[in-house]
Amino acid sequence: MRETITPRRALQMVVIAAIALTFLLPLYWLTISALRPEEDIFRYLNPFGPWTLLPNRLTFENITELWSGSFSRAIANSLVVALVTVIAGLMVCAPAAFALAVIDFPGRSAIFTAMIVSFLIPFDAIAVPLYSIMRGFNLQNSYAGLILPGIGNGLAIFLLRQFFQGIPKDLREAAMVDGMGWFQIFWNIYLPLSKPALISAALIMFIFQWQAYLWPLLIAPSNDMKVAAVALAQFSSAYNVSFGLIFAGAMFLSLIPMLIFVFFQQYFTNSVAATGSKE
Amino acid sequence: MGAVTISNVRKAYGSVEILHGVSIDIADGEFVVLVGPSGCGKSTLLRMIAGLEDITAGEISIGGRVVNRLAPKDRDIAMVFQSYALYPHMTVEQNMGFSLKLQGVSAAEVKQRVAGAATILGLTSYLGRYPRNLSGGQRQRVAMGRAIVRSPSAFLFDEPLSNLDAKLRVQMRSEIKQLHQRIGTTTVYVTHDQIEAMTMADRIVVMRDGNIEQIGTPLELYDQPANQFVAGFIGSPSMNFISGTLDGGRFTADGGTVIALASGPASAASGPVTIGIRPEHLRLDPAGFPVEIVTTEPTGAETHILARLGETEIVGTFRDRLACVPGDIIRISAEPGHIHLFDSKTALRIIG
Amino acid sequence: MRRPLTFVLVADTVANFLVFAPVNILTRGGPQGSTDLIMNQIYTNAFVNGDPGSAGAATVVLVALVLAIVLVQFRLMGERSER
Repeated sequence: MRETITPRRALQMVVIAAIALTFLLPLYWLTISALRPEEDIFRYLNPFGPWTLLPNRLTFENITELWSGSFSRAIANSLVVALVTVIAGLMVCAPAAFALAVIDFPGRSAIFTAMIVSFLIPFDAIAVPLYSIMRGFNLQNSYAGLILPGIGNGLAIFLLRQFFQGIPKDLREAAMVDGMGWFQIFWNIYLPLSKPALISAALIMFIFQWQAYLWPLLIAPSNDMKVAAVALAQFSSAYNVSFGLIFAGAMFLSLIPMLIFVFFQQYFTNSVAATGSKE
Repeated sequence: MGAVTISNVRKAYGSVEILHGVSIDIADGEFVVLVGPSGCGKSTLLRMIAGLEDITAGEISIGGRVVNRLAPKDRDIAMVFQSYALYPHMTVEQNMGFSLKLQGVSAAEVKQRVAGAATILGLTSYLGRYPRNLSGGQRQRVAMGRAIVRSPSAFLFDEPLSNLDAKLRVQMRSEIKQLHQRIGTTTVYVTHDQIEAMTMADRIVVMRDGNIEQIGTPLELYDQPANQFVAGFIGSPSMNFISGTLDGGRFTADGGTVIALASGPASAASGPVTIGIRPEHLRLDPAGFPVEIVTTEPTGAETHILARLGETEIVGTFRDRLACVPGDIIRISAEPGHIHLFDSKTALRIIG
Repeated sequence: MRRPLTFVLVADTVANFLVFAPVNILTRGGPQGSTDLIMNQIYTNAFVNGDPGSAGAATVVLVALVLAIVLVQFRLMGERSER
């Protein structure tokens, strides 16, 4: 089916493209600012002119300086925390979601309600009391302290449960007759059919950890255990603000999840499995 | 071996009972069809045999073993679902072989048994395909293949043909029947389609509202329906019912028409009765009772006539080609030996 | 679309209620507390002023408030799923 492009339609497309570009603008400015000499970053903002958006001098100075410092350690910490959270989190959330979606056990709706409440309450609200508990376990400045709160992710469970509920009941009944127990049904039928939902859940958990600021600031302030977001914030102190480093660090902090997202985006469209049932 | 015994089985959801004590003895190798209108409990009963629903009361045994407390996987049954329920992410071969793999059968033997089943079902060239690339009839066959590779004690079919178009349904009907004749495994088959029941079953169980109305071979149900419900449910077009009174062997319809009955002990009764006449047992008869034609439907082989006797509509099928138009009056009579008598109050057959 | 939109609106409000990072990094609540938000105050009380008691009390108030809003959200979700 081919659409003929009318002037009206063309105008719509231009407007839509302009809006899309507006959303990209801050990211673009962030990137070019990171590649400018520090003294150029704010020089061309006012008055607004071509050099506001076109860098006249490019340099890798900020980036080299950034990576030579402790920031690389912080990025590595963030990656470890986020990746371990994703793996351990899926191992906890997917079976939990399966049980909530499929198995009829007493107290199921109460647990489900508690779980929804848990993700409707923003995590930061409970960060301070949680910190006291974690300190009681002596988990300050440890990966465990950073990772544990991210593993049981209510939103990820909710998302997976909704997806699991959409898988036809006949499939699991056929599997039961075929000789599978609950775990085998989960493993052999539900997981392979749920790749898009698993990827979404993984991304949710990744972003949760990647953008976390308050919690890591509380639980892991030491230089060794600092995550990237905290390290980035500390480029601005009361006495000294190094904007070159801030922009370079912010660029990497945005770039990494973007790359991951773009990489996984193909799976969203590819792995929508056709069901074998005739609906 | 796989005799299935259902004794006094009940099913209740909370305080609502939907099966009220059902007993059926299914012999090893028998093909039994559970038939009835939707909501009669036939699918629930099948799912109880499969172990997908709890048994509230009573007992079900398969191959001499009480299975009430066994999980589906331990009951040695295979089931074909209405939706086929094929695993979308597995090929035909994996779908058919998965249960064997779970039992720990060696890969070589799985392959061999799947190949055997595929040959029987004509699926050999589709083994590498995914369900989404198969037609409805092929998916249906894969679902059957998944059942037969396991050589279970019993096959359970839950309305397996209702998603197919009419032509394919007739074809699959005879394929399932041939398959049964070939393998001889006990089969319980649920359908709402009485023609499927009549054409496939060794014995039919007619159910309504959680009760069994009658159990019998197709022809027993056709010739000696136990009550008015079975009489009306079995046979197509369905039986005509005319209410009236019986008085010393003379039947007078409510409109005053007298219809001759065969002499017999039953016709000696008297009081209000309903007579049942199958459309194919009506014939043109100058000495018969008059009816007014509403529509005629020539099918070529025979002519279906919808006519009116007083307030009652009557369907007749005639071998003759009739040249008549709506509004005409024709005279017909029923073959006296084929008139069924039902008590007007209880709807039960009056034995005669 | 009205229900989902309302839901998002409420959820976003709660999230912004608890904004911490920009306050902590950019303004530290100043000048004169004009940009101070509740999370930053809790944090400052607990970890800068060394007064965990008042921070804990503020947290209880905060969680109670958020729970009340969550209840509203539940109503919205419930009505949405009935459709």
